[in-house]
Order: sequence, then C-alpha cells, then structure tokens
Amino acid sequence: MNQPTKTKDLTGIPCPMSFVKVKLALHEIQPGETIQIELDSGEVIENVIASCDIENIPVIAKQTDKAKPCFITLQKPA
Amino acid sequence: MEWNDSLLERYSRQLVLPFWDIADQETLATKSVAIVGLGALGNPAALYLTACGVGKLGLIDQDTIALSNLQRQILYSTASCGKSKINTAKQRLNELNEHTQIETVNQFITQENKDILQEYDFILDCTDKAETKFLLNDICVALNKPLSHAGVLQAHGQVMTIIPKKTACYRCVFPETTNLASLPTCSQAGVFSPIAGIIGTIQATEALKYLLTKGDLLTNRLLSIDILSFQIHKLALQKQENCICS
Repeated sequence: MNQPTKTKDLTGIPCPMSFVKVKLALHEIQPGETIQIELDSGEVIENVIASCDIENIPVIAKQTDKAKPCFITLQKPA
Repeated sequence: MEWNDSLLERYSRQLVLPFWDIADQETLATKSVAIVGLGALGNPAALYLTACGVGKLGLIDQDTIALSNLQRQILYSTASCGKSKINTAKQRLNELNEHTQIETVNQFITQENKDILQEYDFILDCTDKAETKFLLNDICVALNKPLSHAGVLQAHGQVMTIIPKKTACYRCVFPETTNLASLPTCSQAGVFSPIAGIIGTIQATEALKYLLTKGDLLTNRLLSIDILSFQIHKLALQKQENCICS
C-alpha cells in the first residue's frame, strides 16, 4: 500500500471527540487523499471504525492490536 | 473558520451526526436568519439556532417584556420585565454562544421597512397576529425569501415552510378574512406553553435544514399538532395558480 498523504496523532483523545477530530482531519485533506490516524486502542478505535462505516468513510487499513500502536488509514471520498 | 478545541467541543454532539460534517458547520456559520417576533415562538427558535451555531440572527420586535410572557417566553426572567425583548434576548443568546452574531431591529416589519429582511437567508414568522402573517408572507414572496410560517393557540400549533414561487404560500392556504381583528389571540384564548416550544423548535429545524440542504422541508404541507390529544396531521397543500406567489 502507498504511504498515506498525511498522518495525525489523536492518541489520548476520548470518544466522541476522537471521531470529531477524525472528521476534521478528513476535512483538511483533498478528495482521494489518505490519512493515517493514530488512536487509543479498545473502545476509541472501535467506535471510530464503526462511525466511519456508518458515514461511508473508507477505512483502507487498520491496526487494532492493543499490543502495538493502533491506527486507521482513511481515504477521503472523491 | 478557524477550528480550535473549544469550537470542536462546543459543536461535537452535532459534528458526530452522520448527516452533519465539518463543512456543514462552516456553512452554517456563514448563514443568517431573521426572527420576526421574539415571543413564544421566537424564543425557542432563537435559542436553538444560536446553540447550533448559525452565523447571524436578526431579532426583530418592538415589544417589552410583560410578566404574563414568562409562562412561555423562556429567554426572559422576572428581572427583565419591562425591558426590551430584543435587547434581553440578545444578552441571553450571547451568553449561550458568543460565536453567533446577534443583530437587533427595534421595529415592527411593515411594507415600508421590508428591506430590513433583504440581508437574511431565511425568515421565521414568529408573530402572533394574522394581519402580520399575511404581510410577512407577501413581503417574503416579493423579496424571494424562504419563510417559516407558524402559529400557536391553546394546545394547538401549526407550521409550514414557504419557498416563494416554488411552493404553496400562506395565501394559497388561508383566505384573508375581512375581520382579522376578531381572531382570538393568546391573551384571549390562552396558550399551553409547551406547544410554543415545540413549534418554535420546528421552525428552527426547518431553517437549519434549508440552510444546509438536509432532509425534507415542510413545503406544500401544513404540520398541525394538538398536544392534548397528540393528534398530528400533515395536510397536503397545493400552490394556487392565481395566488400572488405565482
């Protein structure tokens, strides 16, 4: 997979602000671009992934194993 | 719009909505709504529009606050009796959300000063007199301004949205009576205050939906609610060909 266009560290941000900031991060990239967002493990990343699914935001990669830094990679719809 | 943690936190509960995005919030901050009448309907409408982050509100009224208003006009307080409705409302709304610009117009709308409404994107008819409702309808048709019409009496309320030239207007629905002064007012017939909160909030909802192009507007429909029986009707309306709005 290609390197994401941008990265963002949202660790330490609880729900629901985590998803609000994910939306802001998406807003700040161009359609078609990708962004890798680091998030807290467990409920936070699971909720963000679920919310992305509801809003049809493509999650093109994810790492949710608590033993490692958790992230999702999103692509802004064209 | 310069986003910071404070703004994100303030609007977080609507930013997480699946139908509400950062771009929507930014759009809303550029929009303006005129509220004609800061009484029972205008109060809840102003509160929710301010809370949601509309860019500018125009508060248009010339009345002062009476003790009998406090039963349903929830922006005001005992201490504010005798004071200007628009100035008191502005102060209260600024405390709720300092990011919404509040303009006050200490006049009643007439044909002569109708251009006051020109700068606004959406108009709320929150007045309580039939003749004013006909006047506002005619002005908004002439200015091509979208309008929310509403009225409440006793436990009953009604509301519709008017897009001039496109959907039924007030005159398409209601024939103008020759004796408008004989129609009962809240002071004569009374009003069960929650209906004002419900209908005023629906007016704010319609404004938000129009400004952000979301959902289905109450156009060509009159929503009628009785909160004693909770009978709720949506009466289908037809734009009349020989109406002033055609």
